[in-house]
Amino acid sequence: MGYRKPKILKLQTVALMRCNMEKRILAVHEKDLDAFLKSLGLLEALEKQELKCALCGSTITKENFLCVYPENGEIKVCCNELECYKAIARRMGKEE
Amino acid sequence: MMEWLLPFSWTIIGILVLLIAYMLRNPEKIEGAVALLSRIPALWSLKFDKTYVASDVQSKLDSFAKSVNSETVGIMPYPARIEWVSSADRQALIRNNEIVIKLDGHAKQERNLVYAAVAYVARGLLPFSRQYVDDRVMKSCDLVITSKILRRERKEGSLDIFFKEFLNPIVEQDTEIKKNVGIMLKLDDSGYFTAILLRELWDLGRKLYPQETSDATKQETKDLLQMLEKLAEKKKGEDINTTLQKKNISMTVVLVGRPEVVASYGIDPYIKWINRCLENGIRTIHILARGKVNIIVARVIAEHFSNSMKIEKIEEERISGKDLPETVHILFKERVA
Repeated sequence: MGYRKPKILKLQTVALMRCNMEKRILAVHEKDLDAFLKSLGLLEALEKQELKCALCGSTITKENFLCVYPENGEIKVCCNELECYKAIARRMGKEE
Repeated sequence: MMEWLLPFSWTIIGILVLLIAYMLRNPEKIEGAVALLSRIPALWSLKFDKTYVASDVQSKLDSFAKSVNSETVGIMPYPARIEWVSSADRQALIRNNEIVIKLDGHAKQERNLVYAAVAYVARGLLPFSRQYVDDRVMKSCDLVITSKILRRERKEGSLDIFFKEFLNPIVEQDTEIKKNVGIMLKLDDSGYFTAILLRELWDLGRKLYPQETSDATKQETKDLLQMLEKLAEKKKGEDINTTLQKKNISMTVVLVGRPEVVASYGIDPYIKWINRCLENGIRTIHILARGKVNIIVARVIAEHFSNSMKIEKIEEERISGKDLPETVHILFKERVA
C-alpha cells in the first residue's frame, strides 16, 4: 500500500467547486500613486497634508500610505502602522 | 523548405503537448519564469517592474498554497492574483467593497512579499471556515502560515520584516496569541499543524458554511487547540486524552506507538478503541504512526476498517516533522450516505 495524494471526495465538493476562483489583491504601484489618488479626489488633500489615517489619525504621506478601503459609503485611507494594517487584514479576512 | 522537419513533426507536437500540460499543472512555475525574465527590464520599465513584482509574489504564494493543498485539499483553495490599478472609481470601490493596497517597486520586493502574503493569507487561508474559528486562534493560524510562506522562500529580509513589524509586536501585545502561536509552532514541528489542526478547521467550514457563527462554535476551536497542545507536548509512554467530542468538532487521534501493546495483544486494542469512539458518536479518526514498524501496524488497522459501513478512509499521507522519523497520517471519516 503506497502513499497517495488526498483524493477528491464528495464531502469536499463545497470547497472544490470554488477552487478555480482567484483571490484577487488589488494593488497600486508606488509610481502610480499620484494618478490613483487623483482619480479618487484625494491627491490635493495628501499634498496639503490634510489626509489622515482613518484608523490612527496620523497624517498620510506618499511614504506611509498603505491602502484605501470603503467604509460606511466612504473611501478611507490607512497608513502602514502595524495596528492599522492589522485592522485592514482583519477586514480582508471578513469579506467572505 | 521545411521538409527536413517532417520526420520530427510528431516529436515536436509531443514536446509541445507535454509543455502545455506542464504549464497547466504548474502555473506557479510559469509565473516564476515570467518574474525571472522581467527582472532585468524591470530596472528601467514600469510595465516590467509591475510584471516582476506581481509574478514573483504570485509564484511564491501559489507555490506555497499548492504544497499545503497537496497535504489537505482546500486549505488555501484560491490562487493569488495581484491586479494593478492606476485609477479607481469611488462608487465601484464602495459597491464591490474593494481594498487597494500600495506595493513598491522591485527594489523593495522583500517588503512587498510580506504585505502581499499577509493580505493573501487573511483572505485565502480557510476562506469558508474563518468566521467559525475563534478570532485569536484564526489570527495565530494566519501568523504561523505567513511565517511558513516566508521561511519556505528563504527570504531573510522578508522574514526579518515580518518578525520585527508583525509577529513580534502582536505576540508581545497579546499573550493568548503568543501562547497559540507557540502551540502551533510545536504542532508544526511534529507535522500536525496542517494535517490535523488546519484539516479540522477546514472541515468545520465545510460543515457549517454559510450558516451563522456562534460563540459555542468558536469555543470548540479553542478546545481543539488545547487538546492538540497536549498532543504536541506528549512524552513517550505518557497517556493523554486525544479525543474531542463537541457538537461540530468530533474527533480522536489514535497514536500507534506502543510496540509492547501490539506484541502482547495484536491490533485488537486499537480496533476496540476506534469502535468505541464510533459508538460514542466520534465522526473523525486520525491514525498517527511514527517509525517503520508503527506505520505497518497503522496500515493493518486501516485495512481492518476498509469495508466498514460507518467510516471510510479519506486519505493516507506522509507528514514531515522537524528531525523526526517518517510519520504517516491516516484519516477516516464518517461514511456519507
